Amino acid sequence: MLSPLIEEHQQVLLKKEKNFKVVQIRKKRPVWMEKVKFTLDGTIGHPYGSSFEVQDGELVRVVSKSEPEVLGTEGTISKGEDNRNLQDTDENQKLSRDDITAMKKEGVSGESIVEHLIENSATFKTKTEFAQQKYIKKKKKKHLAVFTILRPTTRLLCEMYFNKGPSKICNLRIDSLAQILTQANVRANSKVMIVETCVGLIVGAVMERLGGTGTIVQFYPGTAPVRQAVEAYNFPKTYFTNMHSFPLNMVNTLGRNSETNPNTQASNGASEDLNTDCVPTSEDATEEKNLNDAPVLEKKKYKVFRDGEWICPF
Amino acid sequence: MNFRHKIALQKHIFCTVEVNMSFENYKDNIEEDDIVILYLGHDYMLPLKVKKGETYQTKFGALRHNDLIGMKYGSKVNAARGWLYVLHPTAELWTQNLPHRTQILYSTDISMIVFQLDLRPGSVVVESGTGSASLSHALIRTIAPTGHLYTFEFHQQRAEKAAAEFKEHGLDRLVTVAHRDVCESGFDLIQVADAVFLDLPKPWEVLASSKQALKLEGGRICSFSPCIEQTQKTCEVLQEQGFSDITTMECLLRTFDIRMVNIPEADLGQAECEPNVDAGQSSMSKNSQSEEPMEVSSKVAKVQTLSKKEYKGLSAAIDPKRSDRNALVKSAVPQGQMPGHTGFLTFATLYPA
Repeated sequence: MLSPLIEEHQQVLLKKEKNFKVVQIRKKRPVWMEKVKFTLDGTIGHPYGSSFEVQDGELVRVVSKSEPEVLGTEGTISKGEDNRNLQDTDENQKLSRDDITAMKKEGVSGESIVEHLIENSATFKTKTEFAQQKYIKKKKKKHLAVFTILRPTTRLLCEMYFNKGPSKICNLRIDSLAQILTQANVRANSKVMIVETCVGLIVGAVMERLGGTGTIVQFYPGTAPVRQAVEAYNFPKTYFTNMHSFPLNMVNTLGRNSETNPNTQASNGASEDLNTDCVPTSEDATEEKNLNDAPVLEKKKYKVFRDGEWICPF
Repeated sequence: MNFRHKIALQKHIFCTVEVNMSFENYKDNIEEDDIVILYLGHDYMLPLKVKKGETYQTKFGALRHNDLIGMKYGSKVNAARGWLYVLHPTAELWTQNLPHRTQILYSTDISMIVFQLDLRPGSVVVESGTGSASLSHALIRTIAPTGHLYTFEFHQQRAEKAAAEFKEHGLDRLVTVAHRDVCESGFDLIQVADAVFLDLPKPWEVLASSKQALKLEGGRICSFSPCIEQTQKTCEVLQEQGFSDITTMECLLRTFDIRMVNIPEADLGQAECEPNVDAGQSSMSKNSQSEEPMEVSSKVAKVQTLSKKEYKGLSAAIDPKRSDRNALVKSAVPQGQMPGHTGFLTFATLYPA
């Protein structure tokens, strides 16, 4: 079903520590993250979840050593009891910034730079175990740039948006989204109606839970549904065949009396429209919005930004 | 006879035949042997198995099963002294109404678990212990129709009861129940699962086996423990076993009532240079100045939370002389009793080697 290996053209989550970013794997296209620029070619063919380091602007696979996330693991370096005698001065670290830059240029790995820093620290041995862990973690964060490629899931995307741009998703926290999906009983073969202004995150989450089955009807404010987040999921085309959208500002016209029964008209129209959520726009599209006509499920242009231009993915 | 939905995922067509009760998909009409949920009011629901000829006594009167058969799900049924709704079962309704054989997980925790384990149709999940199968029903609901749940229970009767329930609910093809002590013998599953869930007294004892059960491409794990000491030990061993992104959280449900609340303005006594607005006010302030603070406060209206009925008569209740010194605010008022701590949820990821 889902390929476990990273492929070109996939949307992936690029992760560094707690920082997530959605990028597309494109050969020879560099990306930026935390002031570092690199290409993603080195990830292709590796499994999702792999870690990489930047070497000469390329990503190279590394075996990530588990950080000591959990305190209480044993250390071999001697430790102190408290900081009552600690003098906090710059002289404590014998290596200068130039020394470190030089080491990096020589190609010394981030791991050994951190080790050097520890060796050359006058106060490290007197720190408590917790303080030592904190010190190591801080140095690693600065000098050890490890990037992970992850498959986008609702969990990760929601966290990303919540941390970086919560206003885009109405400040929806992950536990709220989790409750929504469960209480609404979103599952395979269900029919879900969605009204959201969360750049498509809810739509994506529902699509994930439907697994390509069922039906989605999205009522959207404005002129077109915003589905930026849905892009990140890499859903296959089949997932979109039962997706429909309808402008919110025409909801009041539904069920109105007209020459033909609007409800049957809509459902007949729907059976034709079922296979696509995307149509070439025509001038007629705007004229169809004559309120006296029975509204059909409106075909809307659904575009994605790829290769520097907006294209219809179907 | 047991008919099944045929689902051709590529074409999105499925043909329905009259089916037995299944929690998996909605059905239009009630039939004999269905499990229905009777809704008698807020926080008052009951499960019922529909059997021809039987009668069930509710607080509103007798309910004849024969009347239910053929009725549409969701219908309102009148009884002698009231009415009730007959609902199609869902995992959430089942959690609220299932017979408890152990302490269960409620929908708040269940939602977070399903979300954090990245579950979707087709996922394969390993669970231990099964308990009363509250979470199991929710897991099956999410992973259907193409996924599978392997659930382990070391108590024989509970394992048997769970298996019987799954069959009765039309879910048995989606789940395998094993009577086994996984702490002793492990799961005996190799690289099949997308996610593992543990609700055990000593979850660290099965982490190695859990790791083995997870697919080569990696997966997610969750451990639920009431005590922080259990959680701490679990995290240590997760670390040792090579799991990443170890996170512990707790989900607390906050419940509120929506009420109109009367908030009076504080009476700070007569301001120096301000003229009295009306006679009523001035008489009030004269009194308050001469009295003890305790008695003043008794003259100021206490904050009341008003029920709907009280609110309707509110305009009459408010002292017209002081009506400009009250604010009526629609508020979310915390309930006195709220669900408390259930357990800590620890999640982690296993990345591919």
